[in-house]
Amino acid sequence: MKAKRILAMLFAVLMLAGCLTACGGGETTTTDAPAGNDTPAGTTSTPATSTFVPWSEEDIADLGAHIKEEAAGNKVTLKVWQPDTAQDVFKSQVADFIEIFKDYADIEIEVAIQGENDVAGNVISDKDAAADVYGFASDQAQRLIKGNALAEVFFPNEVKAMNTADSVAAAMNGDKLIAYPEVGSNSYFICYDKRDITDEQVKSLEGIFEACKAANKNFIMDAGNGYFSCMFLFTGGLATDGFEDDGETQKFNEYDIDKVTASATAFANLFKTYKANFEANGTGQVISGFRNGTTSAGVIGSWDIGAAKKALGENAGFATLPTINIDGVDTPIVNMFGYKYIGVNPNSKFPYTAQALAYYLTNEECQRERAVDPVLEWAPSNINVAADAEVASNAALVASLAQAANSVPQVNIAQTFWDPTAALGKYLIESSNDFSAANVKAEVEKCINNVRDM
Amino acid sequence: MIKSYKLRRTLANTAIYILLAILGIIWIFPLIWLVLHSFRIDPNGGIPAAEYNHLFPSLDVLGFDNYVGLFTETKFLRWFGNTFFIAVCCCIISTISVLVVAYAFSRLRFKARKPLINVGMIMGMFPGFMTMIALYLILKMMGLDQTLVGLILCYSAGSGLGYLVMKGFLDTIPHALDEAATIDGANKFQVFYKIILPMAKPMIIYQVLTSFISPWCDFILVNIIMRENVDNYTVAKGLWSWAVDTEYRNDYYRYFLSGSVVVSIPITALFLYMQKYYVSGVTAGGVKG
Repeated sequence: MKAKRILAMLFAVLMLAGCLTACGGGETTTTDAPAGNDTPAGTTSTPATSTFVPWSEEDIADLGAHIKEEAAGNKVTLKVWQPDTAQDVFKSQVADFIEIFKDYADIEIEVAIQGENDVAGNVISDKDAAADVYGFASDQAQRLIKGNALAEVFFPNEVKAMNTADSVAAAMNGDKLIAYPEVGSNSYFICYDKRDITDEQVKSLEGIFEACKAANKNFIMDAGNGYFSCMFLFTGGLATDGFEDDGETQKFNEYDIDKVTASATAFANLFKTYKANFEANGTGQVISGFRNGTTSAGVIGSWDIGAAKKALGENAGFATLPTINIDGVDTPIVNMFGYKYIGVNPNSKFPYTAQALAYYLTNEECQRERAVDPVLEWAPSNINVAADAEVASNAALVASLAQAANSVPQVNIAQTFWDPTAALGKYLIESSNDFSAANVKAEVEKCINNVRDM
Repeated sequence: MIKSYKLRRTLANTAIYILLAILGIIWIFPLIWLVLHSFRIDPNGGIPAAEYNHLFPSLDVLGFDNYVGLFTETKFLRWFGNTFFIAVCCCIISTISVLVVAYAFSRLRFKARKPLINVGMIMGMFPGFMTMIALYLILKMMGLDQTLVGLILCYSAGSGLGYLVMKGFLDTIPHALDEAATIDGANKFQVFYKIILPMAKPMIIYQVLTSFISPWCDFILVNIIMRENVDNYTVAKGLWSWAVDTEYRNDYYRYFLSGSVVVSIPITALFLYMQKYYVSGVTAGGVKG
C-alpha cells in the first residue's frame, strides 16, 4: 500500500515538474506586422515613450528596402547575446528597432543571456547556434578573429564618423572594420576614498601611498596579473605592436630597454618602500576594502564602477592612473586599454538585418541610454555622447575614458602575453628581492623573451 | 617502553582517535563553512565573493534572506525543476533498461550473448565525455540541442551498458526459482516481473540512487548542450555561472552558497528514505535464501 502511495506521489511531482518546465521558452520581442502592411497588429505592448530614430527617413527607407529584400516575405529571426545586467536595456532597444522597420519586415529578435567572459568560446564552438549579434570585450577579439567569427561591418564610414578614432582603430583587422564600437572604455583606473586622499594627492602614485600611510590604510592593485602588471613595462615606453609575420609572435615597438627597466624598478622600489600599505589583490578586494574601511585607494575596472559607488557612496573619487617618479621625472602611468564591441556572426541567416541591428544598437541614443543607466554606466565610444553633460558629470566615466590618453590599446595581444607579464609583476612586488638595475633588467628581458616565446 | 597493555592500548587509541578527529574536521569543515556562510546576509544585498574570508560569519549577520531571495529573485526554482525533471526521467529510464539488459544477459541464452556482453564491457571503458562533441552535433541535427529532452536522452540512452553489477547480482539468484515458476506456467516476463524483481530490490534501490544522482551532479554535458539557454539550465550549470561569471560574482555569490545547500537536500532525502529499503531488502533476502 505504502509503495503505491509513494509511487503516486512521485508521479504527481513528476507531472508538476513537467508543467513547470514545459511552459516558458525564450523571451522574444516581436511585432506581427507582415511586410508592407501599414496596420500593425500586436504592437500594443510597445512602451509609451517615443521611439528614437537615429536615421533620416531616406536612410530608413534605404535600410528597410534591403531588409525587406533579405526577408523576402519570410519572418526574420535574430538572436542577440548580452550579459544579464544589460538584458532590460537591450530588450527595449531591440523593440525600438523592430518598431522602426515594422513596415518592411516581420522581425523577431530574442535577447539571450551570455556572460562576457566566454563569448568567443561559445561563438566559435558552434557558429550556427550562436547569436547573430553579440557583445564582446577586447580580450575576446583575437580569438573571434582567428575563429572567423566576425563579419565585416557594412557601414564602416558611418561607424568611423560616429565613434572615437581609438575605439575604431582597435576594431580594425588589417583594413577591415570587423565590429561596431559599443563601449568606449573597458579598462582600469583609480578609485579612491575622498576622506583619505585629496584630489591633488591622487595625481601621483607617491602621493597616494603617502595618503594611505597617513590614513593607515591600503592601496590595492592586482599587480600579479598580466592585465595590470603590463603597466610596469608600458610606462617605460614599451608597447605592443601587433604580430610578426607569422601572425602569432608578439611584436613590440622600438623601445629602450633601460627606460623600461627604470620604470619597472621605480614601481618595485615604491612598492617596497610602502610595503605596509600595499596589497596586490584583485579589483574585488578593492571594493571589499572600501566596504570595510581598510582601503583608501585601488585600481578598479570599468566593470566595478557601480560596486565602488555603492561601497563608498558620496566619498567615491575616480581618477586616471597617477604619475610615477622615474629617475626624478613624473611620468604618467600607461596601461592597457580595451573596448567593448558588438559583432555580427558571419553565419547569420539574415546578415543585412543583423548588421543594421548592430549599427542601431551602437548608435548615439542607444549608447547614451546605456551610459546614463544607473546599473550599466557603460562609457560611450560615441563622440557626441562622451561630450554629453550627463556623461561629463559622471566622474567615473570621465576617468575611465580619459585613461585612453595614456594607454596601449588592447588589440592584437598574443596568448603568450599574459603569463610572463604576470610573473614579472609578481617579481616586482616581492619586497625581499634585490632590485638592482641588472637584476630588474634581466627579469624584464626574460619577460619580453617569454612573451615572444623565444 | 610502556609495560602495561591497557595503558598502551589507551594511548594508541587516543592517538588514533585524535588523528581521525582531525581528518574528520578537515573533511567536514568545507560543508560547515558552506552552510554557515549561506546564512550570512548584508543590508546592502550582495556580498562580493572576495569578502568571504572568515572561517565563521559573525552571529549578528545571519538570516534567511539568501534562501528567500534564491526562490523569489533568481531562476533557481526553474533550474531546480529542470534538474528534478531530468533526474526523475533518467532514474526511471535507466533503472528499467539496466534491469532488462541484466536480466537478459543473466537468464536468457542466445547466440549473440557473449559477443554482446563483451561489446558492452568494451564500450563501458570509454569515458562518456569523449563523445561530447559528437553528441552535441547529433542532437543539433535532431533539433534537440538546448532542450531537456536532449539532455535526458544523453543521460539515459547508454545506461543499459551499466548492467554489469546488476547481472552479477541476478546471477546469484538460484535458477531453481525460475524453473519452479516456469513449471507453474510463468513466461519469461512473468518470471522477471514476479520472481526476479522482488528479489532484486536492494540492487534496484542502488540503481535508482546512482541514476538519480548522476544527472543531478553532471556539469559537462549541460554546459555543452544548453549553451546560453538560461531557462533550461540545471542547477549545476546555473550555480557555476553564479560562482565564476564576473557579472554575477559579487551579487550572486550568496545565492550560490544557499543554492548549493538546497541542491543537496533532495539527494540526502532520497538516500535516507531509500536506505531503509536497501537494508530491509538485504536482510529479507538473507532470511529466505
